Amino acid sequence: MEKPKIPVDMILKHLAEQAEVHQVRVQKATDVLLGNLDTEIAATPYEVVYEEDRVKLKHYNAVLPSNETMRTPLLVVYALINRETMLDLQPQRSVVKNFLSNGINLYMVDWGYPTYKDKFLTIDDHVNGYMDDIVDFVLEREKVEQINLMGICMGGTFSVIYSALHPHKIKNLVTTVCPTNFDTRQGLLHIWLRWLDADKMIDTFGNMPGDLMNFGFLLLNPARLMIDKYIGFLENMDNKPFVENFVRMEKWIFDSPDVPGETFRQFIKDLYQKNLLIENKLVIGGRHVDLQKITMPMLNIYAQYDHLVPPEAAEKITGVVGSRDTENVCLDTGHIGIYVSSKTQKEFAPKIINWLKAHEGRYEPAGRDDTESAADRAHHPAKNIYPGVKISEESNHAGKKELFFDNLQGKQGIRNHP
Amino acid sequence: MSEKEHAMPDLQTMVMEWLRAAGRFWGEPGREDGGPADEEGRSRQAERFSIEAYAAMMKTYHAVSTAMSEPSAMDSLLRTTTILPDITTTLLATGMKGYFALQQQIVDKIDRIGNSTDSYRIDNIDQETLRAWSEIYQKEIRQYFNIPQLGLSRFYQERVNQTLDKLNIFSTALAEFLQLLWLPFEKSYHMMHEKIEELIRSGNLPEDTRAYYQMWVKILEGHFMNLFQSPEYNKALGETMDALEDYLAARSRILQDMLQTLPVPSRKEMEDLCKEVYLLKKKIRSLERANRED
Repeated sequence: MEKPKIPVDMILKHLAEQAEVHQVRVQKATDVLLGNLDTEIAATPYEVVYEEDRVKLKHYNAVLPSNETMRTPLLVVYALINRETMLDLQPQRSVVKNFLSNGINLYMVDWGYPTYKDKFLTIDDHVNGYMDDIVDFVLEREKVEQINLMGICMGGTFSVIYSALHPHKIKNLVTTVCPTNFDTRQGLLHIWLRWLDADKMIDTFGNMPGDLMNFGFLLLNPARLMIDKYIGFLENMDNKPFVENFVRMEKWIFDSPDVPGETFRQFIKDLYQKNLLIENKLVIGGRHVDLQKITMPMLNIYAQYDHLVPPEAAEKITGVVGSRDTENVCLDTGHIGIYVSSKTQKEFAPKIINWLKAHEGRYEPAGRDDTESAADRAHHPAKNIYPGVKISEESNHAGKKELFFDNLQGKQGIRNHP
Repeated sequence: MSEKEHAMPDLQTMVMEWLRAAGRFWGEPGREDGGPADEEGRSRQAERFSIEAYAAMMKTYHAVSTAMSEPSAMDSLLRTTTILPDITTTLLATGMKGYFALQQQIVDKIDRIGNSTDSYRIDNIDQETLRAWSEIYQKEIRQYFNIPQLGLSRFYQERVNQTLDKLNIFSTALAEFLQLLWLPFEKSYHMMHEKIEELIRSGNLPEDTRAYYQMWVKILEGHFMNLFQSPEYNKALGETMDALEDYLAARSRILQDMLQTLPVPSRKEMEDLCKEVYLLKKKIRSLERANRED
């Protein structure tokens, strides 16, 4: 018998089956939604060790004995957009927990919620003010001469600027989904922000409203972010862990502090519109941000399907800094997925941990002159000077190395300078 | 004097008699010896003041009545009755003329509005209607909000008018922008129809209803991506943001006017204060740092 062109009977049968499934789902979903849900985010214990205005510094409680903890602390600088809680969104997918369980002494900047009085704060105030004060505090508290610095998204851009202005305080630099090259048409954000009248916007709003930015981010892909995402929720709302994680993500994504007006204005005009950073022409607080001064090892991780910071916006920085030890890693995921997807949990944090451990023993004389050129700097190969700390990937993540590298896409490895 | 004359006195005499009588009548309470105020003590002072005010008013009325009872004034009064129809006719004629001129102006405006809408096509009626309205508003209506305001409250009224104007412009821009956002939905529905027809022809129609949704959302995403890259969308987004900012700035100016009447600092004052604190903190920080380095 010939197959009918429109299998009406099959479609109707399927619809009837679906209706039954939906009915059962709604019943279960009612129990889930009315029951106790654990939707807490940023649950890993920490202590606020430093405060300045709205800015706080979190220090996470170590989970390993001190002789198994890396001596050089890692300071994580998040973006001014959204909150750093994303790194500790859920217990099973927490970059913070991953770091701690692998012996990283972790500090994290919480930028807080800017109010109207913060509208005058510039990039200079954030980088040479708050960040520098925090770095000095950590150096003193930990009795070390340098720290490891990790910047996320806009926080990555701040970290690049900081490392260029204060290179002697930074031992290793890690940037993740960090926009540094703004001359690209790969992402819609880059297209839209090019024509944005930042002056008028900031003169009107004072600070850049978080909700307005969130609306802009939703508009980047409304079909997925405003429709498909919630269809997915409806289809899984009988699944308690799914609902809990979904709500955690919703909590994080719509927790959007405003961005201080002058910082936003400067970021849009000098970076998005004039692309001064990668062209090595940026001036912050009256000082030239010379990328050649970034001579410390640099690990740059970005995402293949990032719609906010596309690969072209992130990958070029390693080619223009003064360091000889740079590495680009492109992960097969998106801007947020890099931190929270189950797949990249096995790649992202382990890569950083192993890279930092491999670079832990690098000797760096303190108080070095800022003007020292890259060519003058001696490069010291990684060596383990802390016997209690396992630095080899084989010993710490045995069996994962193969998987990790199989899952990576794009460039990786030590770049050879011409 | 004839009997008829006795029975019906002329109008002038009647009015004069009436005015004299009124003068005498209203004059009574005004006499100082006739008021109850003389008999009352201090406790009734307030009552006396009101009676005195009443007496003063009556005196004025008495004076006017007396003056009006003079023959010359009576002549003038009676002449008024004869020219009143002429005055009324002139006033009415002027009013009607103004009214017809206004009507003509409105008709002209409607005519121009008609010309504006003619230039747009009917096949894209939603978008064209919005554009037409935008053009009509800019050319024919907006000027009313820019009529110069006069008097003590002119600045306040001007700011209210400006806010209404900016609100209208923002509403129009937003409607156009939302209409653009709706286009991918329309297009994806059309494309879905075509795709389903194609699948029917090839006999590959999916049985799972979810497959249709997946198909639709993928098409929709594609249309959105095309739209977002288009110059039209970027222009509309820019205009909407501009209009929103203009409206918010205008609204803020009105709120500042209102705040001036309340015992709270205005935004400008707070801004100045915040800036001073910011600069002071910056100075202290740099001094602290210099001190540390020393």
